[in-house]
Amino acid sequence: MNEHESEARVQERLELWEKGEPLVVCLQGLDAEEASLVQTAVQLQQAPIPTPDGTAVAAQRAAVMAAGSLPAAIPANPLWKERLINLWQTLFTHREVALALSFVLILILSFAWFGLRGNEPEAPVTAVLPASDEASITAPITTQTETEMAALPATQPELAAEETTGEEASTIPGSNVPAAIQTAVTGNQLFMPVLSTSLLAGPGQAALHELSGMVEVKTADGEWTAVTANIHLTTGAHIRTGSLSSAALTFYDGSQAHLGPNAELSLDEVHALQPAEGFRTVVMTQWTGVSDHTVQIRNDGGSRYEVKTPTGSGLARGTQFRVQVQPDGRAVYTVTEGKVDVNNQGRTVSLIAGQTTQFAADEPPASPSFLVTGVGVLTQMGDTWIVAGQSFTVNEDTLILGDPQLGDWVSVTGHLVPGSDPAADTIQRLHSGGGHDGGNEFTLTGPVESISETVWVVAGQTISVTADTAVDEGIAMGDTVRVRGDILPGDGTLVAVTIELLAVPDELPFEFVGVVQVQADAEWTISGIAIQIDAGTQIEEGIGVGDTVKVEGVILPDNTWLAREITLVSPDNATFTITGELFSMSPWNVAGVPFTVADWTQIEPGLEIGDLVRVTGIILPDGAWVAAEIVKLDNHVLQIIFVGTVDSIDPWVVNGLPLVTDDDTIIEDGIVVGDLVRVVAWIRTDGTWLATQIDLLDDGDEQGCVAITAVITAINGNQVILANGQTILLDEGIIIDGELTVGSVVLIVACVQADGTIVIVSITIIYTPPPPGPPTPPPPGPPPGPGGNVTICHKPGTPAEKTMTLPQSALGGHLGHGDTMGPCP
Amino acid sequence: MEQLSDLELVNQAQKGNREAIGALYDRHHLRIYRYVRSRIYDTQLAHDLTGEIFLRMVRHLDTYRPTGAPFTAWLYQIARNHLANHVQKESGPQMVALTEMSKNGHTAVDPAIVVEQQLEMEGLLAALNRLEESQREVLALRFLAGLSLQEVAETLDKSVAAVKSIQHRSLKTMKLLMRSKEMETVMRDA
Repeated sequence: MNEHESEARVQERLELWEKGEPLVVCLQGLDAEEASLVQTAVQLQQAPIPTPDGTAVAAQRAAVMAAGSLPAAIPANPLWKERLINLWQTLFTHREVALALSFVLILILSFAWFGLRGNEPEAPVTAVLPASDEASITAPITTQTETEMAALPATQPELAAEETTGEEASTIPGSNVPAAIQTAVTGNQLFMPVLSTSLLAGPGQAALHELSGMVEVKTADGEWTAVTANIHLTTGAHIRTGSLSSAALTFYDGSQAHLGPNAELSLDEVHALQPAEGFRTVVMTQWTGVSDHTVQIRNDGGSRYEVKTPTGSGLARGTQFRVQVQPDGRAVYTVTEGKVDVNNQGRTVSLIAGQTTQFAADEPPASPSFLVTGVGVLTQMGDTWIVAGQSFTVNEDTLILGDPQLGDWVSVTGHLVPGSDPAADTIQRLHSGGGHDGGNEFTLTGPVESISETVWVVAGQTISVTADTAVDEGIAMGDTVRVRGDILPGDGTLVAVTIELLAVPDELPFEFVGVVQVQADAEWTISGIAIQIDAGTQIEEGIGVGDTVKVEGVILPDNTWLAREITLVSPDNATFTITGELFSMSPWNVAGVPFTVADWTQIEPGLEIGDLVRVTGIILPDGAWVAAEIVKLDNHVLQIIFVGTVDSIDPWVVNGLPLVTDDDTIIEDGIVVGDLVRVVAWIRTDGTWLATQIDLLDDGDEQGCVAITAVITAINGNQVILANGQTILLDEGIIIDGELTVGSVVLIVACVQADGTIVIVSITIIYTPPPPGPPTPPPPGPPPGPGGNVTICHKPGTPAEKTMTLPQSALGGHLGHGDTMGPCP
Repeated sequence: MEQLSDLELVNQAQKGNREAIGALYDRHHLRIYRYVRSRIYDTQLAHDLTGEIFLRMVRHLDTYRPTGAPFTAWLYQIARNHLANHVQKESGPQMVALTEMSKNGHTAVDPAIVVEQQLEMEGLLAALNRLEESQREVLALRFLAGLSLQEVAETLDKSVAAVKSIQHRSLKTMKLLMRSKEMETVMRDA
């Protein structure tokens, strides 16, 4: 049987089925093979795929609808943009028309409304920014436990669109981030359509939870307010706990800080992107008390988790550590896993697991020493204290809490001192009396100095080992181990219960995203970094030179970067857009998102901290975010530069266009009616044109030039389409420096000639994206019609205006004589 | 709103009519969800991704121009992109819980029937996801999302004839995959 005929028969019967014919009718006359294909298709159509419940769907629907409620800054009539684009194209292709329109050229520099750009990259999740100036406290989220919250972001069945009672987390005015995060004050009602596996909506937030006792946060007016429910905090927040109280902070990347009693901590910087998204930056200052930190491992060269104290700071690289600030201001850093660099007075010491250091404000950190802890009965006090039979030296730096008395049960934390008894750093009374069913316990971390069947020596301490002692395999002399065990009453013998081998701190994990530049059997070069490949390296199939990949591995003691896994990542986030509050300009930070600027970054003059801005830029292969343009957004809609003749002054009218001026408008001296001027203006939401600058143009061949930075989003033959919707026709006169490619960041210089015409003088490629990787699905955009045809408006604005459909190959010619894309209005 | 075409709804939505956005969601969300669900075995995750797709639709709605291709083609391009990005980021096997079947969409109360339906669905989706990408996409868009041949062609930027051909081949392959799984089951149970 002819395969083609069989295919046609199957298709015909499928169409019958889709029209509602019974299956038995659709199968009549088909052979077994054909019938089975129809049945397979029907099976797929009828696949019993479970659906979300109705309430969840309703909630999602409400969120999608709410996302469509963009603020008034967006013109209701999008034809604004189309008209200007059409005019722009017309002027560039009909110089005669430009003359006839009296030298009016509208050069669109940027759009300050939202969502108009095609193929707009995924904007980073910008945290909800409340209106307060400093410590940012958003509406309470829920009263669920951490376990329940960690199970989110599943939609909560209870939430319906009309039932939202809490403060609706608003977007930043004009933000691209949809208002899709709603919170409710009552009940377990939390809807997060943006998938997240954390407690938080974004990297700029920290969840304060696990509240026990008195926990307070400082509000914008400087008052301390008790916190009774889990809340989100952002940069600038100040937290403190009372006696016998505690709280936890969880950051977006999963790192955590636990505050103990009488602790005070402020969040200096919070932007904890997850590994696939970028760097993690968490910086906090601990003013008093104790905090324990569990930091997600990152060795991507840019992530930072730093805990400062009044005296110094500790920088973690993925670890567990404790910071204690004593009442006299001494800081004590102790690491239980990983590595922490502690710095003060120009000296940095690196602590590995089991080590501790401490220092006062005017001291550098003490050399690392191994930690020793114990819990037991206090049997002696004085210069030497004995806890559970172990002697500890005590000095003026030892912190003694709870006024322990002889016979009390205490915990002691100290450090080893060569040639001496361990020194106690903290002794805390646990409870009175010596009764404790569990016996005296100890924990000791340090290098193994000797091993025998019954006795080990660890960090100078003799440890008894029994048949019941659980010992990690492979421990050798010199390895760092953690010993936990019991202290026998009477003689204080240390008996090990467990001996655990601690990870070699030098073999640090790394992870980064980069572009494959060189591929060889045993070594690849990825974004300039030599990566070793061995038999254990898992490499996703199909990776080639030029692909954007994520590399995970370990840095070996000889500084070799050994890859464990190399996977493809999507290169589609080569550009970014941020809209939000300008937090700082040194370094640059908008809405909690840090980025850098380059020589070619166009920065609107007069920006101030607190301004609402829009940043567009590119993401380099090393993950760095570089801004191409930073503009202020208020009630601005469009910024326009045009050249024209002054018709009147005060009121200003240029080429028949009335301009509004204010105190900030810069007007060159000596302009008179009839002069040719260049005007920089904003078209405001009320339609008026606010001139920000009016310059007199000199006579000469070039009446004035402007330079704009833009990203190329498409190239069609001799047409270059920019991210702001402009289309540039390339001709021989344009100097092109570099190779134009989609994704390139370019600097375009356009100048006004003596005859009023505008010419593109040059296009300089500032940045070129890496070569394209494996094919990815095309971004959304107006797809071509059937057979690759496109629809245009032929001769718009003329009696011959009509909508036409033609092959794409003919498009250039039609656009060349003034036709426009899309149907006629 | 229900009487308006997709293009009319889009036009309304572009002017800020929230109800038009809601109508577009009502009209397309289930099919988009089924398409997503064919790749994502977790109902909740599929639901969330569906929401994200519609949010992207809203965000980019004013860039849509009716150039001849149906709106669904544009919408499903968004869905394909988003889903592909998600799948690319995730790794490891997806787990399907039997408790999935206890959610809406299943009328069977007999646990045995529930399990049987679960297994049938698992088998279908497993076979579907073993197909080559273009085959999988055609079948998922045609029979899970319910797009017409024309709509699938526009979404995938192929001709209708090419889609028909791919559809035919992929149904044959899928049938073979499902049959081989049945054989495995028979042999296991033997």
